[in-house]
Amino acid sequence: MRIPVYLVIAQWALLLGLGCLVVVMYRQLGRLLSQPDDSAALGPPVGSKAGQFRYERVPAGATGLVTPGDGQAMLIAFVDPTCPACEQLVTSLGDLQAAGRLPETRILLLMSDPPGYLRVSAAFQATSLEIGRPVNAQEMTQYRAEATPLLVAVDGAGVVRSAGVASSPGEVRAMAAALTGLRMTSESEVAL
Amino acid sequence: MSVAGFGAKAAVAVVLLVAGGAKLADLHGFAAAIGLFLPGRWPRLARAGLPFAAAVIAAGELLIGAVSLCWPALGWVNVAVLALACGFIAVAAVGYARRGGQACSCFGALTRREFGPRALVQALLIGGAAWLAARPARPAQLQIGVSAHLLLLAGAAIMALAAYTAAGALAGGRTAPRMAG
Repeated sequence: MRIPVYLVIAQWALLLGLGCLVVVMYRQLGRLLSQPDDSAALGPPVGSKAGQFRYERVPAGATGLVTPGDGQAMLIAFVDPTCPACEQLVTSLGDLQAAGRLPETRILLLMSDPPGYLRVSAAFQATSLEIGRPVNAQEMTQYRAEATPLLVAVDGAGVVRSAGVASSPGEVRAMAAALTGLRMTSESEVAL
Repeated sequence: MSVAGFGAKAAVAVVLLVAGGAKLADLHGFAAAIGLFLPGRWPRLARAGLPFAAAVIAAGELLIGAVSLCWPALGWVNVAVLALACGFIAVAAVGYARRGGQACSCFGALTRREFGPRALVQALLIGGAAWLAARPARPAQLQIGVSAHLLLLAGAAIMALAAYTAAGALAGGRTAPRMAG
């Protein structure tokens, strides 16, 4: 019996394809498993200088520039509308700001999802905080925002004071305290 | 069509099966990649339809890949594959020019490839193979029996399922930290 050439070739292609798939899977799993602690690797190192970056305002579309070290403290939140924990962070930040607990601190929400995804989140639609999308991925590498929600606190001198996963009001307060600790009184902590 | 042509045809079909299966497993990521090509003020309705568009494209890749692999004598499939490959090249070129460094989700969560020169070369290679596969062949060379059709169809299903499962597992592993806290 003569086997058609095409059938032999197609079978080999399928076999090689499956082999490649196994190799790719093995490599990617190796990368995932070799990350000892994702949360510990998130965010820029505390004490490092925060980098300058451009962002596109959402939904306005205009381009803005963040220049850490211009004298104003900042809270940069890496969040996405499709991430439930991010919605909690957005709400927590909004509440803190509305309560006046973050005086002279600029808050910027940075999302990677397309602007249209704002509609899936009531928290994002309702917030009055500034929202943007990074323009250049290269400029953001220093921030190591591999997962969301990530909050980075940068002081007026442009130095990272704290960085890590945060969403609940308590976690946000703890991280914001790195910026406002000198100003925040015990009374205000109780009030929050 | 030579042996090289047969090889190119089968290889492109397998690539389409893997790409389609992997994209189906991570529709959100693929929809986000499609969204990169929409203007900022695109109507909300269109944005909401991105996941649907992503599903249609992924299913289309699967269908064309499966038909191309299992029914090689169908001439129109070669044209469809070539058109799809040209689409890949166009997307890779525009993505490189405008969205360099952003995830292309070309193979769902299977790879972390971004729009850039490597993605463009990859698309050009697929395009070249599709062109090679689209060259005329003697019908007798591509005639296979019913059992062979079924065998290849089973192989295509296994390939797509394997890609879907692998990409789904990887996508889950990557997105888990996103829900932290």
